[in-house]
Amino acid sequence: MSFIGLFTLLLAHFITGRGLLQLLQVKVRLLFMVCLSFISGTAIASFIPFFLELAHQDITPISVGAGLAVVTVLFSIPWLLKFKQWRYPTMADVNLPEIYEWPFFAIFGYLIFLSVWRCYFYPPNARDMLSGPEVMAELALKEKHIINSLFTVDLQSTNNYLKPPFITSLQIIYKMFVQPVGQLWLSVFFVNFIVILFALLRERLHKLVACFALLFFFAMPEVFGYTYLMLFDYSNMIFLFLGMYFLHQFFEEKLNSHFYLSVFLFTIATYIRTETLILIGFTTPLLIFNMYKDKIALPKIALNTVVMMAIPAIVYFLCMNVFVKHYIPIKYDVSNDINKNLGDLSPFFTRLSEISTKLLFDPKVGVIYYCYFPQLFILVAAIDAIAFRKYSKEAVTALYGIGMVYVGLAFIGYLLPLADLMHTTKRGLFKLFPMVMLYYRNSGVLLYISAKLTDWEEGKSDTSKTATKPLPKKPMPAKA
Amino acid sequence: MTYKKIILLAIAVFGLLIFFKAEPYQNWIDRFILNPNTVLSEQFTRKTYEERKEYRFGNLYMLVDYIKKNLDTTSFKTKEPLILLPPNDYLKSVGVDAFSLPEPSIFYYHSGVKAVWTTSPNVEQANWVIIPAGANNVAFIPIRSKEELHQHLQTFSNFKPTL
Repeated sequence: MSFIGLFTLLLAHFITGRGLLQLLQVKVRLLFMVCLSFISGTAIASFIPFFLELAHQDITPISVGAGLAVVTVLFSIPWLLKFKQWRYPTMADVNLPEIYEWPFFAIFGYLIFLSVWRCYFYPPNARDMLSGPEVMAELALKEKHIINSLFTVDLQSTNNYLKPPFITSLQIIYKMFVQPVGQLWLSVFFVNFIVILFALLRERLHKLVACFALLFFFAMPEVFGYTYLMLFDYSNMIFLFLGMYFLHQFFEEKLNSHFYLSVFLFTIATYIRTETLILIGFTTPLLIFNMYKDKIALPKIALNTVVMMAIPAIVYFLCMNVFVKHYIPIKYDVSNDINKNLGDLSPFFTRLSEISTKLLFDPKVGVIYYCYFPQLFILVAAIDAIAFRKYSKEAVTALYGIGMVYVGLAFIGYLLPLADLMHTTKRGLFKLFPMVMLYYRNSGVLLYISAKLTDWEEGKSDTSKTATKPLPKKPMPAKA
Repeated sequence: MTYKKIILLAIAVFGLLIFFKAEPYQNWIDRFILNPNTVLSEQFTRKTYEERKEYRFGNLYMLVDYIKKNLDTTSFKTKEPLILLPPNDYLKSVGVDAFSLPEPSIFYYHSGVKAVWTTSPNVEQANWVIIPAGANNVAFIPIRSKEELHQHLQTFSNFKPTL
């Protein structure tokens, strides 16, 4: 493995992502900004081999390296221009964990290490990869093109070569510059995402409650498995969740920068899995409702709605109508995959029911895949509904996100019969879980427990007022 | 104040013990996290890519390696080797169930050699075939004529290629 290659790539990802955040004028806390920069920069890098292929250029270490260098330099300009405003981390930024967090940190640390190690050690073996993106990437290294001799082999048994070139491109980059297995980009997404998730929880909940909540998230075997089994769904989950989070920040703070970042993140989610466009469509009512409630002019509402759909749709068009249609030498018509009997809604309701009965709450399958995560959410939501009945704006966004994914996946199953329950829907459900975590940091009961614990820990006698204190107006106060 | 943090530490440790005592979490830890088949110390010794592939893909990797070596050393030279893959159900029916042969695209990924199923449009161009050779063993032999090829196809004809 080339550590120099890995370090250079990470640096390039960070600078690219940081430049993007500067360009969009997004201001978030330091740790959040660093993690988001890595995630965004890695996503931007994934377009380089794809665009080289679209431009009929050879994919070589020189062309990809030059592409990375150009992108990094271009994105660094807005950041470098503001170098006088750079804020360097100080000791005040270091929030040392409490002693009671250490057992959790040891467990999280081991699980993260295990995931990164397995990403490094195990060659990819998911069939969806070996008969699609992985073999395309492997052959691209030898033949300098994503469209290569794979298409001279009998491909009757697979359609995985039709997937967007997100993984293919990242595999090419990481195989070229890091190690033959590639794959470590998945760890870049995973580690940074976990840090963001934990920071979000820890911001509002008591540290002990935040640790337990994250433990439940970590300990979903199915989800944890895909932190080192290379497929589309974990990355797709990250970008859809972050898109929803920044969409909510836009509702809260009315900053266009958050809206544009949200659109960027939704666009990447669509680039990873094109059917995400349907889920983004399901999100537009939330955007329209919030903007209407804030008395924003109708043309502005219409414009934002169009932007939120149009930018991801452009990437969809690029993948499906340009790349698949004009570059892949096998004829494919997406309309052939669409349900021919759309008048019959029974598949939609069947899938809606099966998501609960055969996946989430199935006493055998559900427990093996997700352990008690879904049950815990129902319990917390039920206590909130019965005993607290107050929902912050963010809690509403999170609940909307949960509903959007649930109904959206059933709709995708109805629209595209190939999207089966035990593969596509099962992995699509990953997108629910970080939304649940977003809900947890707004949950009445968890905030109540957190306030009680904090007051007791800090030695305050009267907990009745703080226990029901309103949520902070700005959960992520801006720091340049 | 410190004693309160110690109490919270005790709650954390106690909570973790209960958490990992719950059956599904214990199963997860036993099967996927501390599984003896994935012992890290053993993995640390496998440093090269080839060793890792062997570890990951087991019998399939050994088969592919055997085929590649055979193609390099054989006296039966073909410009473009094209291997006929027998259906997995056929292999199982004759006692070979230690591994499954992958689909042509994955076979190409592993070996760099093209392969066909019995249902592939270019099956008539196949010039090598994998055949059973005793219990859980296979052999890789050349197809020297169309008659030989059709004999193999006839042998496999009752089975459909499956993943």
